[in-house]
Amino acid sequence: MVVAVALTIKVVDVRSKCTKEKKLISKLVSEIKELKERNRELNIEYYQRLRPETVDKNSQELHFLKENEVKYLR
Amino acid sequence: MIKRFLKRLLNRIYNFIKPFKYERLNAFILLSFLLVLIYTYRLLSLALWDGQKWIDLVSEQFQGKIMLSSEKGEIIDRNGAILAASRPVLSFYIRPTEIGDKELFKQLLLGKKEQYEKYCKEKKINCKKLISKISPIFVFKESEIEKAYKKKYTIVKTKSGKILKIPFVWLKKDVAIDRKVAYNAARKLLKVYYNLSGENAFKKRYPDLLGYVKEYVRVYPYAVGSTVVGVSNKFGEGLSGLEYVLQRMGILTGKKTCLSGEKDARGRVYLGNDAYLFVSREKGQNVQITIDGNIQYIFEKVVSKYGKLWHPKFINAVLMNPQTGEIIAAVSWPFYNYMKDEPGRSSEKLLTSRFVTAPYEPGSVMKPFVAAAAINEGLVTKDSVIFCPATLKIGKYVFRNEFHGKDVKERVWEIIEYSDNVGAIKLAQALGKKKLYDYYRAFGFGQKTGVEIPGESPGKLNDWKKWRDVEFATLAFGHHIMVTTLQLAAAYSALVNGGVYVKPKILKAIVDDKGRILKTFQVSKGRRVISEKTSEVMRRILTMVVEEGTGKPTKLENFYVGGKTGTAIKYNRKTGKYDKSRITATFAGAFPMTNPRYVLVVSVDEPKVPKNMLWATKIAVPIFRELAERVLLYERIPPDRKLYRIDENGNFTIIDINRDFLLTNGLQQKK
Repeated sequence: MVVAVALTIKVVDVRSKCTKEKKLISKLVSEIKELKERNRELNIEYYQRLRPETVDKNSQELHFLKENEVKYLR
Repeated sequence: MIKRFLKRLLNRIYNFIKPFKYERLNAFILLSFLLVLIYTYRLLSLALWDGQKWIDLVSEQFQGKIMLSSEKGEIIDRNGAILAASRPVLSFYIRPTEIGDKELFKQLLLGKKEQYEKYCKEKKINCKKLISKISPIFVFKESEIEKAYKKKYTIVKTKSGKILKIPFVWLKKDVAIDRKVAYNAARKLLKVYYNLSGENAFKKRYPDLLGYVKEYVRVYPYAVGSTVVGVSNKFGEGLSGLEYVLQRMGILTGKKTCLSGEKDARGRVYLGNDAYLFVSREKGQNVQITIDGNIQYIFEKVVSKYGKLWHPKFINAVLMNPQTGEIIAAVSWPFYNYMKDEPGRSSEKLLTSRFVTAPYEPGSVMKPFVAAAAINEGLVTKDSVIFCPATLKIGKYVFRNEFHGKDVKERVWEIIEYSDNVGAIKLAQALGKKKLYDYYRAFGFGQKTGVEIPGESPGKLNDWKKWRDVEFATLAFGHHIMVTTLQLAAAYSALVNGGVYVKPKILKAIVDDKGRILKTFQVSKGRRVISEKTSEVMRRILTMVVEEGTGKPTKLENFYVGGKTGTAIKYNRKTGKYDKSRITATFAGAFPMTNPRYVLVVSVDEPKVPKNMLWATKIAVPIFRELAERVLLYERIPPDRKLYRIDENGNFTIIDINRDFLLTNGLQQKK
C-alpha cells in the first residue's frame, strides 16, 4: 500500500515536472517565433530605409571620378 | 413527309409483332416495351455513361474545402537585400449591429481622453498608463468609423444564391502593428466600453465588437527590379515575374493545407474530427536570385533617364556573367515603380519583361556570329582578305558596302569593325545556308533560353530550306530573324567566354531564414559552339569595333571594351516596306575584354529623335557606356588596359598593359 502511494506520488511529481517543462518549452517556442517575426520586420525596415538610392548617393563621388581616375591602385 | 414515314414504320412494326387478337392488348404491350426501353436507357445513362458527372455534382453540393495558405517566402538579391517579402499586418473589423452605444465606442476608438478619464476615475487607475496601452490602435479615422457604422453588416451571397447578412465590417485593413500589442489594446478598449456602456459581454451574440485578423501583405523593400521580380495581388498571389513563376513552382509558397469537410445549404463548411488535428502552417522558402539590387537600380536610373529623353517604345538592358549565365541586372523601360504604381490592368504593360517577351530584328549585331562561324569552320582567318565590291546584286536587290561607292579589300576583322554588309554577305555565302542556320541555332537563336521568367518568346528563325537567296543575304546582317535582348546576351556570352553557350539563369539558391543555402540552382553544363581559339579571336575583333569602328564612343581609358552596334530599320506592315524613320538600335558587348566578366546588351526600340541621331552609335552606345562605367566602378574591377603603381619613393607610374591585344594590320585602317 505504502509502495503504491509512494509510486503514485512519484508519478504525479514527474508528470507535473513534465507539464512545467512543456509549458516552458512552448513559451520559448512562441518567443522564438515572435523574435523571428520581429527580426523579419526589422530586416524589411532596414532595406526600406537603406534603399539603393542611399547606396548610390553614398557612392556619388565614384560617379564623378569616372573610370579613368586613379581608383585602381593595386 | 417524315411524319407519314414514321407513322407507316410504326404501323409495320406494330403489325409485325402483335401477338394478341385484341388491338388494345397489343397496343398495351408495345407501349410497355417502349417504356422499358426508355427506362433502361435512362438507367444506363445515370449509372454508366454520365455517372461521374452526377457524382461530381453531388459532391460539389455537399462537400467543401477550406484552403489555408501559408506565408510566402522572400526573394533576395545576390547580396542578401530583400527584394520581396511578406509583412504580417492586422486587419481590424467591428460589429456595428452589436454595438449598443455607437457614439461612446467611436470616441473610445478615436482615443478621446474624457471617456478614458471617466473610467479611470471610477476604477481608480492610472489613466496615462491605460491610454498608452490602448494608443497603438488609435489608427482609425472618424470617417472610417462612420463608414463602417453606415455599412452595418457584410452581405454574403452563397453559392446556392441565398443572401446572408453577417454582423462584420472591415474597419481598417493592413495595419502594421505588433499582434501582441494589438491584442492587449483591443481587449482593454472593449473592457472600458463594456464598463462605461453597462452592456453585458456574456449576453452578446458576438462579444468581440472590435477584433482583428492577421494577414500578410507583399512588400518590396528595396523597390527595384519590378520587371524581374514582378508583383503579387492583395491576396498574395503572384501576378507577374518571379512572383508568378516561383509560386507556380511551389517554391515561394508554403505548403497549402487543404481541409475537407461537409457543406450545408448555406455553403458553410463543417470540418470533420480529423481536421482538428494540429495544423501547422509552413512558411514558403526564400529564394536568392542572381540580380544585384544596386546594379539593378543603376540600370533603372540610367535607362529611365534616356527613356524620358528619347521616348522610345522600350529600352531593354541585360547584364550577364558570360561564364555562369547569371543575369546580374535586367531592365525594360518603361517599368513598374513599386513606390508609385499599383498592381492592376493599367500596370500590366509596365510589368512585362520585354527583354524576353519582345523579339525584334537585331541588325548588324548578328555579323560577329557569321564571322565566328566562318573562322571556326576554317573557311577564313581573322586576317583573310575579302574583296568587297561597292555593290553586290542578289536577285533584284542591290547591297552596298560601307565605303561609299568604292570597291575595297578588307580583312575579316575589318568587316566587323566597319560593319560592312557586303563583307558579311560574302562570309555567309562562304558558309552556306545550312551551316549558318546550324550556327545561329547553336548560339541559341530561334529557341527559348529557358530562363525562369514567364512569357519568354523563342524569337523567329525560319528553317534554312525556306530561305530565299535574298533572305539568306540579309540574315548575315540581322534581318529576317527575330531575337530577344536576352538571347543576344546569351549568344554574345558564348562568343566571348571561350565558345561555350551557357543557359541564362536568374535563380541562384534556396536559402533558409538564417541565410544558409538549402539548394543551389546549378549552372547549366553548356554546349560548345565555337572553339576557344575562335572565341579569343572574336574578343579581339569585337574590341576593334570599339577602338576604331562604330562603337568608338564606348572606348574607356582603363579597360578594353568590345562589342557590336546594330541599327535595324523597322519593317512597316502597312506600307510593306522598311521605314527609315523607325529603327531598333542595339549595342551588344562585353568588358573587360581580355577576360570578359560582363556581357551587356542594350536595345532601344523606335526612339523619337532627329534623323541624324537614328544610329545605334548615337542611341544604344551612350547608354551602354554609362552602364558599363557604373558597373566597373561599383564592382571595383581592376583595369586591363593600364596599370597604376606607386613605387617606394612615392612616384606615381602608369603602365600600358595588354597592348598587343589590338589588331593593327588592317587594310582600311588609318595609319
